[in-house]
Amino acid sequence: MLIMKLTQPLHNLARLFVVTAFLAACVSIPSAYRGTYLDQEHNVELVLSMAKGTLEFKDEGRILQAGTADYSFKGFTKAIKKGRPGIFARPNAADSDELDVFWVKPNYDTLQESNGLIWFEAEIFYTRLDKDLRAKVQTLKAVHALGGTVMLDTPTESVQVGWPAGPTEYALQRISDKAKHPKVDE
Amino acid sequence: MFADFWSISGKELRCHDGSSAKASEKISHYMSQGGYMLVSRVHALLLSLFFLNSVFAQTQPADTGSARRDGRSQGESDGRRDGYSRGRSDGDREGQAQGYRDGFARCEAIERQRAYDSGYSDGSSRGNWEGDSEGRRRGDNDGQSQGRSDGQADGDHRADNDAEAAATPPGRQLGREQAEASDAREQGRADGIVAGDRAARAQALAYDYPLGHSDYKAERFREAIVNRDAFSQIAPAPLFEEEVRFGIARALQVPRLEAVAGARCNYPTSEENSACQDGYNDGYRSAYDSEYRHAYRSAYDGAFRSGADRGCYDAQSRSYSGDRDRGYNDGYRAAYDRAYQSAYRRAYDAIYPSAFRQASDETYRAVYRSYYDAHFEAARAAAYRARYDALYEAAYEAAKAEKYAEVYPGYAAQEYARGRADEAADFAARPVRLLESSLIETIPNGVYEPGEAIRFRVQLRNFADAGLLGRDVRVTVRAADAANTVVAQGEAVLARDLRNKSLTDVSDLLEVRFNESAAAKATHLLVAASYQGRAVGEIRLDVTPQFMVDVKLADEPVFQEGMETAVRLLVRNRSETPTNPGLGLRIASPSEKLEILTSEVNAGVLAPGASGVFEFRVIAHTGGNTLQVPITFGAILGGGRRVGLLETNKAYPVRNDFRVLPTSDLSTLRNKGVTRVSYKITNIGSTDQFKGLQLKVSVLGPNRDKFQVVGPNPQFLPPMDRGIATTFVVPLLAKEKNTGGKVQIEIQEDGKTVVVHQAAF
Repeated sequence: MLIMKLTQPLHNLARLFVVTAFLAACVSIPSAYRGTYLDQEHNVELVLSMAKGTLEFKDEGRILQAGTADYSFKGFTKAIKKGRPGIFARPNAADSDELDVFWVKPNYDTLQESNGLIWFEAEIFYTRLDKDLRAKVQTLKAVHALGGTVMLDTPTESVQVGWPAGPTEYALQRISDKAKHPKVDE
Repeated sequence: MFADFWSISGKELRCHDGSSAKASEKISHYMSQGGYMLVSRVHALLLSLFFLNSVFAQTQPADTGSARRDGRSQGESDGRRDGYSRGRSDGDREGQAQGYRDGFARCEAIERQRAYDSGYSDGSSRGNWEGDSEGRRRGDNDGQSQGRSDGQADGDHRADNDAEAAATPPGRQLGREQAEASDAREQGRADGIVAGDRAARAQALAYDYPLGHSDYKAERFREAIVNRDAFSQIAPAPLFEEEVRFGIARALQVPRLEAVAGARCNYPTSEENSACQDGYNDGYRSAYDSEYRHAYRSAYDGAFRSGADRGCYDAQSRSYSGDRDRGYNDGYRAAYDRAYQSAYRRAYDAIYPSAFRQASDETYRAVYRSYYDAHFEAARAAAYRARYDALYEAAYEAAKAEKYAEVYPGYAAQEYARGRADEAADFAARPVRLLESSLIETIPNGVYEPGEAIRFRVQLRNFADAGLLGRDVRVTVRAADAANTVVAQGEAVLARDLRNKSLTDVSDLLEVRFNESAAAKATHLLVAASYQGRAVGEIRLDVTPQFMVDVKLADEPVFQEGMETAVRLLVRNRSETPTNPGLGLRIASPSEKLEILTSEVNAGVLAPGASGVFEFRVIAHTGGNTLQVPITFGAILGGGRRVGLLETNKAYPVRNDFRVLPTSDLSTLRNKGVTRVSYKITNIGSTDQFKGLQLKVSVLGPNRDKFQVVGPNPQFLPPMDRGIATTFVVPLLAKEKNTGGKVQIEIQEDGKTVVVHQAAF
């Protein structure tokens, strides 16, 4: 009994560490960007919360929903095994205050492997977020492409995400500070 | 270790249940294991005896308390005795020594100072006396000597000045009178006459002789030209640029104390003996310590005083003659110097003035006369020379002018006539002169072009009354820039004779051609003529060869690697005639880094002075920031004649928004199998943050069908910010061994090609 009383705080501390590490690894959406946005021209709505995003193509009646993940070889390998979309984010190479965000919906039917390379086609939504912003962001620019590819190079454990020319460009306007995600059947 | 021994021995005594031999063995074994010194072995023997005694004597009740008290009492008694003895001994010895050192040092210092002071006083007295004496003597001598020296100089100076003032006026007067009585006038006149004659001759030679030449020559040139001729050598044609101290620890030498304790304690049981020994040791140590300190201090202080007295006595007994000598010397020097200086100055000042005055007056009287005589002579001589020169010069100039006027006309006429005669003789020997020369184009368009045959026209005048043979008149040409000029015909004799009193234009003489490297560089040609081997004239002709058509870049090209670039050429017709319709413009380069898509452009007809801009399409294949390769632009006329040229090897900028370079060895692509080709791509200038990149790889060359890209082709890359670089891999399969080719990678930014890189393997 006495031993349990002594170790309980340690258990709690370990749990906090794991949660913190998970959040750090997955990169959370900066608070300034959390909320609901709409691109009127394309009738597309975007909901962003701390670790989750929903993209609704209203004209198509299609919803894309995913949690945050780290943009790394292990992160993508894990995502492949789960077979689910993810919001992969990494610090921007030129500006560490910014995040490159790749929202990837993979088409694993196209997965191929050869000579150390693994690649598959994917629907990709890309945007950039400023980590240091405090005020709520009102507009968000993004691009969206259906025919993109994700390529994993196993010898170097590097990840390469890209898309063909002519992606759809979105100019998203904040319509609410709340971030209520619709329930999606998986 | 000693404590360990007692403990273990006691334990063995209590636990013993066997024979004595066994116990002895254990003790001996213990001793040998510990490696004790000799004293320790004695203890072992005593303990063995106690042990044997206890075994054979049988046992009685032990009274250890009494034994301990007795032992302690014995120990205290022994300790006090020993401590007192040792303390007095040590204190006395060390007190004596330290006291001696202190007393000696203190008294020595006092004695040394006393000796020094005594010496200083004695030295000072003597120094004072000797300094004063010597100072007076030297001051007197020096004052006398210096006073005399200065007085002599003063007397000499005064005598010089006074004598000069007195002697100069009469000296001058005498000099002038002597000059008046001299032969200055006669001598000047004689010299003037000679000079006048010489000047007249020189003037006639310098002026009238050439005048005779030129007048005669002019007269000849004014003669009427009887015959005007012109002919072509070939056919007629037009003309044109880096120790803790205190002896307690030492007295308590443990092995010796234990031996004594063993001897004092003689009880029937080992326990009592052990307690007795413990008590003895404690009592001994305590009493020894206390008594030692007291006795030491008491003995020390007395001995210290005694030692100090002795040391002081010894110090006082020594001789300090060295210190006394040092003081003597110091005192002597200080007193001597003071007394010397004072006495010296007084004696010096007392004697100097009188010595000065006496010497000055004596000297004045002695030298005045000699100075007077010298100044008198100097003044006389100077006045004489000045007056003599004036008289001489006046007579000289007058006589010279008079003589010049008298004889010049005759000399002038004589030299003039000689000049005319010599010129006449020259005309007789060289009756023909080269008067003019000019260039003649063979392509008559107002431009002396590289490659064009250039001929010459000369104008010759025959002054003779008779005709001259053409073969006696030779015309030659030399080029200043021989490396860039081809002299096809450097000399010629006239094809025809020259008639009497004639002026003849000869055209189409000689022939030179300029190389293309001479274009736009100013140079000159020297045309000369001779008559029967005697030069009759040379003329320099300045010329700048030019192409008919001026070719230059309309603007500096900025290349993009792998992408088509326009190079614009500005072409101007600088000639006086239109170009023909077949004027073609060509671009060429020996380097594979420049791929030429348009090699020739037709410029059409360009009127005189007209210009046009023409484009060539090219592709630069280089991964660097510049392209520096030889490029030649030429303007060619229909007949193949080059009429314009621009050669350049400048470094031109290569600017792409992205640069891509392979970072792995491509040579393995010649072998069968898969090669992972790594590339590094860098955003040099693109600022758009949302445009992705598309990469397409292909193999070029005759072996291209033997290769296949393994993996996605095209590949896609996410947007890259300006200044950022990243790497990617393209696996390429070579289906069989091959002779090589080129790997081409085309990078597009959101569909727009930004760089095409080729790398050979």
